Amino acid sequence: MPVVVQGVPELKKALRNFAPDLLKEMNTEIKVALKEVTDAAKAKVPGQAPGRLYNWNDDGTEAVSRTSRERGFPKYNARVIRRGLTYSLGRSRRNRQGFSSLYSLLNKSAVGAIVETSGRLNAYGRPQAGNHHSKNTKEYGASNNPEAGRMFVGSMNGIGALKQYDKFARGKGRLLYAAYAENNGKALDATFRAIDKASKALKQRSTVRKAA
Amino acid sequence: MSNIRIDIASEFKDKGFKQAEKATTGLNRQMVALGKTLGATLSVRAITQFGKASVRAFSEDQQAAIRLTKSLENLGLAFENTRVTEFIADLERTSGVLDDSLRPAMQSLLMTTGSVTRSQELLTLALEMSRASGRDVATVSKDLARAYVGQTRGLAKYNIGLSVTELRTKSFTELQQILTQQFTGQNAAYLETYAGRVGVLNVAYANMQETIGEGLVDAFTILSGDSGIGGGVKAMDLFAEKIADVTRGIATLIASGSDLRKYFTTVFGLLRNPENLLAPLRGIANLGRESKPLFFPGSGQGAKKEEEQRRRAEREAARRAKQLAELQKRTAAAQAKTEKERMKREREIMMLKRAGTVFDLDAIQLVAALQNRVTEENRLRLTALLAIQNDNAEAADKLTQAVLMLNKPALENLGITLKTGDNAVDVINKIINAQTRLFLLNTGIANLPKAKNPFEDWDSILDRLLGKINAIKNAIAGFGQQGAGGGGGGGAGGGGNRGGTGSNQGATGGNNVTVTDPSGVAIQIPGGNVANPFNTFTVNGATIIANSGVVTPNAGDTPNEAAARQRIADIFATIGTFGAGGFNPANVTVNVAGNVMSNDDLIQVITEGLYNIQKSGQAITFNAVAL
Repeated sequence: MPVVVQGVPELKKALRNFAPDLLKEMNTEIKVALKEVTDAAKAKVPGQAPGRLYNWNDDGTEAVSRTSRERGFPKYNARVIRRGLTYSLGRSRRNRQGFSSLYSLLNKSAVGAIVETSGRLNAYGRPQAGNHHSKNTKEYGASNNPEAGRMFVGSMNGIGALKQYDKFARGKGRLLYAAYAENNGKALDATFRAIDKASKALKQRSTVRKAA
Repeated sequence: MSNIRIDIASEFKDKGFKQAEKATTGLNRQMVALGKTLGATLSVRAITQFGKASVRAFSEDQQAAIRLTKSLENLGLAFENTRVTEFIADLERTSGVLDDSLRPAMQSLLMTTGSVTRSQELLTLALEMSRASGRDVATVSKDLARAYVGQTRGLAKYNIGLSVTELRTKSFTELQQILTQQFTGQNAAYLETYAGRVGVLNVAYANMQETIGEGLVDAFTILSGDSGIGGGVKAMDLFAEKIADVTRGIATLIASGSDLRKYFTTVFGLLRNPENLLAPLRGIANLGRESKPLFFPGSGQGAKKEEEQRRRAEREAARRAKQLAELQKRTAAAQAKTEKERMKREREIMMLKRAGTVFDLDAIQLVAALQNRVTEENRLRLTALLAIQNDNAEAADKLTQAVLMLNKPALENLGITLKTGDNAVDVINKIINAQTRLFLLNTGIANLPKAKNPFEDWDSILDRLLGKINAIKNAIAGFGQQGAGGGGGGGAGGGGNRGGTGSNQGATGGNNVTVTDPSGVAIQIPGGNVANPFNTFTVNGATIIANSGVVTPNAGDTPNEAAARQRIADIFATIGTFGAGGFNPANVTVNVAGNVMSNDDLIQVITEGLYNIQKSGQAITFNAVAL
């Protein structure tokens, strides 16, 4: 659950108009805090596919779906994963609940998301029903190897254990979420300290001007 | 794009912002604290890393052990493997040096000496030397191994107090005795220090790693079953998974609970009664021990045969040591012989040379010169030359010293002080220095600016002085001559002119000499006449006052000096005429009759006159005359 704030967009607007240097300074401080988390997440990404998933490494060929889907199962590419681990200082679109994010950390790539969240639902991998089923479902996979799920999740666990950064199950992951959990709220503190500092500085400046 | 995101801050409405942050942060912190406690001990990564390190340590240790065993086999000492292994293990435990260092050292010594006993002694010695010198055991062992075969140069760096020749000539046994004497006890002293104790602990830890590594390798071997080590990869994966399952299970058990206090209570309850945990662990340990692969060393030939082989090996090693010692002795003897021959050749050359000097013309001439009548100094010089000719350095040096000593007085005149031990080169340098200083001094003196003649101005000064004195004299004389009507001063009234008759002393006598006033002082007297106060005339260039004699100038006087001398004499003579007694104090009687000059003028004239007389150095006595 993100921290909900009020007035930050207005503050940013005011800073942009009256004190762009303060806005720049605030953004710099927030970037530093968020970069720490993304760098920690990037450090967790191994160069090759973990475990014994040798064939999952990206050899340059395009992943083609064997089940007539639009995209094939993405190949493991450490560069792509690291590139996808980033942050954003921009405001996001409002979701259905009406929330829009002001500052966020992202794991944009598909393969990064796979690595991040494997085993979240089934810690020992999905049971496999074999390929006599037409397609796999959430409950069963379609591999002939009954240990397929277990092997995959076990290999992913070689990168790191799933860590939870908030009380919701969806806050569990092994790259970005784990890095954020290990950050112990420092990024959050730093972000709000920067906002607070900018706000006070702006107030101070506007007070002086008024007196003059 | 995936929807993996963490929203740091969202905007909408205030849904208890502070409470949310507090709760999240607080929970995070609780989880983190728990994670730290559990993670450190049960983290899969930590266990995996330790396991890997242990396996690596074991495999390296095993490789080193195999190398040593192979060396022993090649030397025919395979039966000594156990003894060597135990020795190294004991030494490792007691010395704090890892077997990683001890094994290569032992190997080098074994290959050189061929004897286990000897190698053990030398390894112990190497350890002591290593502690004393700070060098590692392997280096010291190499030096000892080289010294064993005669290359003793490496021992020089341990500063054992032996020269290179002694190192070369002494046998290895003697050297070993010396080294043992010097370095015994160093290791024991080192182990008393903190560093030594830490070293022992490090050894224990390293051994623990190796033991655990061995266990892990065995575990993987067991798990791999019939498929051998090829199946070990799968076995390791499964093993790791099992460990991961256990740790994850424990973490999940604790983390997934909503009431942490309850689960901690459960865990602590479990830990409070360790039997609950230890019993299964003990059972597992027993199982592991039983599963340990048995290891039988060597060929298992029996103690008696081993003893026989040992004795044979020792005999062989002793024989080789004897051969080495003999070889060393022979080498030393050959070297000594070569040295002796060289000395002999040099002596022969010297003798030939000496014999040749009989026919040396230079020498013959020198000897002939010596037989002539020569001074002591020349005799010494010739003998010194002869000694130099015959390459007799000692004699030449002594004779040269003697020559220098003979010349000591002459050298001292030049400002050179001879010291004992000064040789010809020193003396020459001193002479050069002295002469250089002298030259500089002379140059400096030559370049000094010419001094002014101090007597340059004397003439004019004395002339002026004399002029003034004469004026006074005339003025005083004029007081008496002007009589009753006149004033004592004889000057025109009130004018303050100096009175003086100005009459030439010579003029009244009717002298026909030319009066020349060298000072150019002209004194006006009443009547408009100019008085010449000097009464001087020039004869043969010497200026004379008629009432003084010609003063003979001193030898070396310049004309000015002679004139000055004469002038002074004249002044004294002139002053001497002031009174009847010559240089007696002048009595000035002033009889004032009438008012010829003003009172003040008279006083001024008298005062000036008195000052002038005082200046000339004559005493003045004042008498008051009552009028």
